[in-house]
Amino acid sequence: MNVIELKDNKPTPDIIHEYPDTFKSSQVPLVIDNGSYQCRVGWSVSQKPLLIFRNLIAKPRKDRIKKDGAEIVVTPPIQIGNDILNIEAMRFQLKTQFDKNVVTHYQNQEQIFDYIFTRLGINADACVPHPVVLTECYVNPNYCRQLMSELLFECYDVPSVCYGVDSIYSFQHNQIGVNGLIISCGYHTTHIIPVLNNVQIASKARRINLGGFHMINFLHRLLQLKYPVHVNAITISRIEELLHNYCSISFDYMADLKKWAFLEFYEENVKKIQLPYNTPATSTSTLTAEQKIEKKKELARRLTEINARKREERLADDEDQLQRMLAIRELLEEGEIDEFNATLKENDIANVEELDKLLSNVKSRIERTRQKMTANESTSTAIIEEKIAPAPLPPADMSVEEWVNQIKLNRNAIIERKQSRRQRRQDLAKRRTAAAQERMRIISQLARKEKGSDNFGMRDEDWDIYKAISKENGDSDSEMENEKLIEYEDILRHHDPMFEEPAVVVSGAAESHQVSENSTFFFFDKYYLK
Amino acid sequence: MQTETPAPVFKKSSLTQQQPGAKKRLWKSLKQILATERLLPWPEDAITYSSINPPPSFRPAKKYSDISGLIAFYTDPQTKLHYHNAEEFATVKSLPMDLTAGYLALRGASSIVG
Repeated sequence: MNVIELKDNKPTPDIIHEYPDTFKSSQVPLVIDNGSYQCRVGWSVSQKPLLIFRNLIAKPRKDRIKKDGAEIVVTPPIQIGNDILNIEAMRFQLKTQFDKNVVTHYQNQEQIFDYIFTRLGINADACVPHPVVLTECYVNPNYCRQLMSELLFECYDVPSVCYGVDSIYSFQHNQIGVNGLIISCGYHTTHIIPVLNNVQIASKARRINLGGFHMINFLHRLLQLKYPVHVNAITISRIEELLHNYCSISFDYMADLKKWAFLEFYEENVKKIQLPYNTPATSTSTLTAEQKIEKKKELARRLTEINARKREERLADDEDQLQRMLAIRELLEEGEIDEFNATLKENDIANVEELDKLLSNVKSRIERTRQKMTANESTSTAIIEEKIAPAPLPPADMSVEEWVNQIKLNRNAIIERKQSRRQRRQDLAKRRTAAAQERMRIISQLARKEKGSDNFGMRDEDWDIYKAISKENGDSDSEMENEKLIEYEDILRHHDPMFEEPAVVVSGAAESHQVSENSTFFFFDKYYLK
Repeated sequence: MQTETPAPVFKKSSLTQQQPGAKKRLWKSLKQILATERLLPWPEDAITYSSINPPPSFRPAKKYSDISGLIAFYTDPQTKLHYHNAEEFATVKSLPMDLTAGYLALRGASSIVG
């Protein structure tokens, strides 16, 4: 099992090639393989094409630059073929002269020709003095050939043009033999052309409207669905790289599929693709779920402790104050009025009535705090009591194991029911889901009923339809179910050592999600086409 | 050496289709071109772009798992997804609705009518 690094190759802009004078004078033919994926151009005397580029034109949007209050519209230059360095950024501004495998947009084709002739360095005045060999699709409509000829002859003044089909040229050039069946896999179409005695049988040729374009889109969408986390990292250019470098054609598809079903074969042949990633900075949470829960409990405990201490302090303060006031009061009762008035002044109290009021206030406050403290103590003891409450016992006719299993099944059934209800609610909330569409279908059918023949409501079952289309609560989580669930969990906690608390389960799921998010590998099973 | 300029020397500028300020020419789409082509009086055995289209297949479409691409023995009645074995069924069950809809659309089976 090997890991494949994505190269993300960027194209290098084409240079302007040298244009030898001998070519100009001897009218060397120019070969242009004008495909809907790539265009390849070269002189007929050389072995390899000089230019290979994607047949694409990128027209960037106009930039508006505000300068000294006046708006200046800057039109960035049109990029063609290998000039487009970042094709993903330009994906939505791309244009092509092709519609499927046929050239239909001749203004774009003209821009492509300009690009070609400029990069070849042609500098003849008002003409391209070379015969042109141009490939076209199989059975090109006359209308298209006419426009292409018009463009070449009138705009570029070429001396002559020869049209041909790339796959038939290839058959000839590679000397397959006199008889054969051409299967030409193109970008938009696949052609099947029989050849007998070096003559193609056009009446038996067929075109399947399926090609690399469709494969790339299929693979792109498939991988995005498989790895929703990496949707933005899975780009068309990367898929092209994968398809061109790592995909192969199976000679016996069904047999290969059977092989892939075996784990050993899968492990041996699976290809892992490494998406580019940034190593995350120092991991923020190294704590496990249990540690987190422990920490939370610890915090809560400390908080209650602090509260209790504060309450005790307040109680002590209040009692202190009470003592002092009682002492003042005693002064009054003992008849030492002078001293009493002096102490009243010291404590900012106006007269006897206020002192009495304050006294009763402090007393009630102390009473309240005492009550709260005893209440807290009793609840904590209550919790402990609850914990040591006797374990629920199984019914007489069942062993504990059977009973626990039964309970487990019941519990899972309830949880599943709850989950499916939640799922349904979510689905109905979204448009374009099967559930929402089904609902709309029922509603439209209800509305469509003829006025005269409407016998809705004759049968009691008719009314059930409202349950089906109700968005809110076709059936909601019933109180009884919740109670049952709590009861079951209680039983399981007592009898099943494997039982995990629901809260722990949830946090575990969050953990696994984190792992999958941080994981930088993604597996690539296999490529298939329907 | 020739540098890229708006009007290359090898062109007849009077006949270019991209004159500045000229009205945008609307090009026929392939569909329109083919429709016009069909209207012409063709002989019986003429070979045109439209005539080499393949006929529809007589064989029933094979079923492949939406999850792995393996041969699909089963179909989930709820989501209509094809799957290969129990393990994949667990995956199917766990998929959210937008993903199942995506798989169906990818297979071309998302039409409500069909």
